[in-house]
Amino acid sequence: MTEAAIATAGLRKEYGGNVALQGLDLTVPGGEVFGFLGPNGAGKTTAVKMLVGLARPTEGSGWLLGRPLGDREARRRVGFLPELFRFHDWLTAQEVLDLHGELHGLSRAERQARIPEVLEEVGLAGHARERVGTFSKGMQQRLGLAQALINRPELVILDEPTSALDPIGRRDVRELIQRLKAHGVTVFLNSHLLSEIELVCDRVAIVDRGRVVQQGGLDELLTVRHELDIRANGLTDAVLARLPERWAIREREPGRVVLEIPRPEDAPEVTRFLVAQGIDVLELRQRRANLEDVFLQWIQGGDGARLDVHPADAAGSLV
Amino acid sequence: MPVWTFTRLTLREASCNRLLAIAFGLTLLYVGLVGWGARALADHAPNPLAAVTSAAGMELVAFFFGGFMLALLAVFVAGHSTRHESESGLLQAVLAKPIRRLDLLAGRWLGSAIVLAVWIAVFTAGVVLAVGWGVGFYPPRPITAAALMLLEGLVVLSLRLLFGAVLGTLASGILPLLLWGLARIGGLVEVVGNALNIGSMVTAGIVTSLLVPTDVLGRGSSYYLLPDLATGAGQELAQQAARGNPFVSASPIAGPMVVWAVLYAVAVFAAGAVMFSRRDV
Repeated sequence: MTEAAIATAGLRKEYGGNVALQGLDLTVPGGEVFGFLGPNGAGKTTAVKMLVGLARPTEGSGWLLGRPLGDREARRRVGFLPELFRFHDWLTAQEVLDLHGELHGLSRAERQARIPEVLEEVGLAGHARERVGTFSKGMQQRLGLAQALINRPELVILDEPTSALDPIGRRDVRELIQRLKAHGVTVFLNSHLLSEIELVCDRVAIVDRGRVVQQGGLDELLTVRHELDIRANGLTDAVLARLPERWAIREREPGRVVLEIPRPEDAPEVTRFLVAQGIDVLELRQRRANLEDVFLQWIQGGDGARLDVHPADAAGSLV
Repeated sequence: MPVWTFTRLTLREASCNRLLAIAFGLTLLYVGLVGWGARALADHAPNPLAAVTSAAGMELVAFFFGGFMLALLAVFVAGHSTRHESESGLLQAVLAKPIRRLDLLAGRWLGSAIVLAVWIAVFTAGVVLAVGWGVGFYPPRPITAAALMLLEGLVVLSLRLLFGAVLGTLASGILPLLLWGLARIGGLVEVVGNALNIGSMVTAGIVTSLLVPTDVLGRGSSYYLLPDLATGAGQELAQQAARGNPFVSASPIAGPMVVWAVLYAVAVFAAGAVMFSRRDV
């Protein structure tokens, strides 16, 4: 595995007496798209601010690209789009990018070559000479993405990058993230838009009330629960009452039932059972939980207790 | 050099600022009015000595009120407070760059100082030339006067940046002006105390000068605008100063006070830089 792009150990932040982040232990492998999710007020933005040096941790430590937090050399290789973005609105888009490129230490020639590229990349080509003050919120967010890419970063930290974007803009950002990944760039995506995370992320961490409640590969997280979605004729109460206890009924409607099974390998056994009961099975497919299910289970309970996982399986699928 | 980047940004912002353009325009109007007033006074003077005395007096009054314009400008030119800019999101993407926060503050200080220097140059040259052209009186050392004025402006500017690290734009702008006003009152108390020989008033004035060394610099600069003390006009104005005329200073500013003002501005700026650097954005 490549060097971790981000690593934190017990990162804690208090404002006055209020704990914003209780102790963040996070590892983001290089080259992956990492989703950092949680409800509003969970401490996501606080964590991001500490990563990029905008806020100082009360306790704990962290490393960005192998260097301690706050290190300027590391920030030279990082791109950052803050959640709250505003630019000097009396500058043009090109001037804003020139300023941010200059702050990254890029030479004039490098900036002149790079600015049209990033404008193109975020869909703002043709707006270079317009004043930022005339930009819509969505265009400003695109400009924010452009300044985050100006230095060809190895790690991009995006805090709610699509909050001001319409569906087309969101798709553009998704594609942009995928392009970055293809170029080996690590992307840390802070978002509460679960569908977005599910579409682009390799790994996720779920944060709630200032601590990480779950962390792991997206595939592992989403297969915490194994479900079979069955459409069949003759699914009567009598038949379902004879189901072994280890197969729990999760959903039920005429002609359809969703069973939760301990292991995916049980699927053939379920089929045999139904056939033996004289049921005509029309369709049977494995269903994995979507991220929203997993997220809600972790967040609503406030701890892992609510996650309805078979104990034997939990060891294997939870990180 | 990130400091220079922020200096240029500050200058660019100032050049786009219409209010600043208006301030420069009004300054020219002020200069014109002073020149016209000095000429009018000189025209009605009974003799050449009175003409020079009144013209020089007019010039001193012009600089006295110019000090107020300078303080306002020093507060205004630094723009929004850094705290306001942090909270509004303007600085988040900027401060995440591989720079020190000191770079931003130093660049802003330098850019603002350049604007103040330009204003002082325009103001001083304008007033001196307007009065000189109208009346023929030219003060002996206007550049020294302008330099002291610049130092006064830099003290106010440094206070503005210090308060800006912890307060909003309005509060961080008003507070340095209040301190500047306090120093001016302290200076008047000292002048009157000197004239009436009241030791405690003089002490109070000196203490306020140490706490906020702005007025003492302003009065110090007025000394260099006086006609030569060997001349009749110089003697007349020196006597007025001794009688408690607050617009005139018949003695040069003490060297240690200039050193104190420089150290004060540097220390206030450094405190502002430390507070801004430690602040969570």
